Amino acid sequence: MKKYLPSFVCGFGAGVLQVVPVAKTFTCCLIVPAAAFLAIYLEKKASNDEAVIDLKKGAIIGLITGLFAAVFGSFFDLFITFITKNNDMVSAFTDFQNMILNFPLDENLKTEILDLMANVVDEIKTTGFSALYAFSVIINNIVINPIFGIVGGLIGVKVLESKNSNLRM
Amino acid sequence: MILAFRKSYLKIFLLLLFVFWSIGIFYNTFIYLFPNLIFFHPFINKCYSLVCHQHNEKLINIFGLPLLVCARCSGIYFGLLISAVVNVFIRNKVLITNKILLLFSLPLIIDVIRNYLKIYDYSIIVAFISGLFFGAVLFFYFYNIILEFLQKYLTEK
Repeated sequence: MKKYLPSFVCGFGAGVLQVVPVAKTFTCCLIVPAAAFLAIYLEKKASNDEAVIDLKKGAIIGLITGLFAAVFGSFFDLFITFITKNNDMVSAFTDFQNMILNFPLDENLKTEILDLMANVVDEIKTTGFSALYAFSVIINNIVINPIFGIVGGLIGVKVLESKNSNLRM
Repeated sequence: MILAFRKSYLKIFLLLLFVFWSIGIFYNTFIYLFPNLIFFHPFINKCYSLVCHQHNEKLINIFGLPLLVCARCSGIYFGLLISAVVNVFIRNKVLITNKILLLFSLPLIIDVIRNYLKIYDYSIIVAFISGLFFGAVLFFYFYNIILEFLQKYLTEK
């Protein structure tokens, strides 16, 4: 477990920040890559500043950080939705309705999608949980976060190791 | 020769990846062409909401339909896409150092900070262009890393 501690800590942090609106506004798509970058920095600090982290290890640390971020991000998203019986989908439902109504689509199609979304929103408002919403959150988190984690991990290794190689010279 | 062959595959793979990702940003526009795509809209929207705040006032509208990411993120992704296209047609390596990456990310960082401190109002154009510069340079930086990674681990096997 100690081996994965930097990834765990940074993944946890990224998972929390993903559900904090202010942090999300400020950092946008950089939360998970930044977490992976920080995980590599912490890994270097924890092992030895002189130890060289190669790209393969960086990619693995990024992947694991992304996976932890996906797990914690999904958990906090669903947990907060369960407690508050509210989330961004519920608050954006009126905008979504207006957008759908403005689409030049068949009326039956509009009614079908609005009914589907209204069911999801109602489930969240009454029970705090919707299977469809949970599925959407978990799948998206598990696919997107590890990819962004790997990107952050590779860039992190490059930046930190080039700094080291400059120092060695 | 084998490496050059793999390089071209890598270039095309990355291009397809960014084309695929960029198409998703225009999902609302595609609903016009394929109305049944509307059923996947909440799912796709959630996917992009993971990587962008999607504030209404910061979204670019195409024919009255908003993109799924903000102007700054759109700039970054289109910068990546443009560089991915250019990369297919060039043979020489574009070397991007940390300093160059930092230099090109400065407009973006300054714009974010100035907006955050409310020194000036948010401008979709400024956000898009600053993102575009950063994305364009970030692609070559990332491409060189991937290339180094593949050269090291795949060619050894």
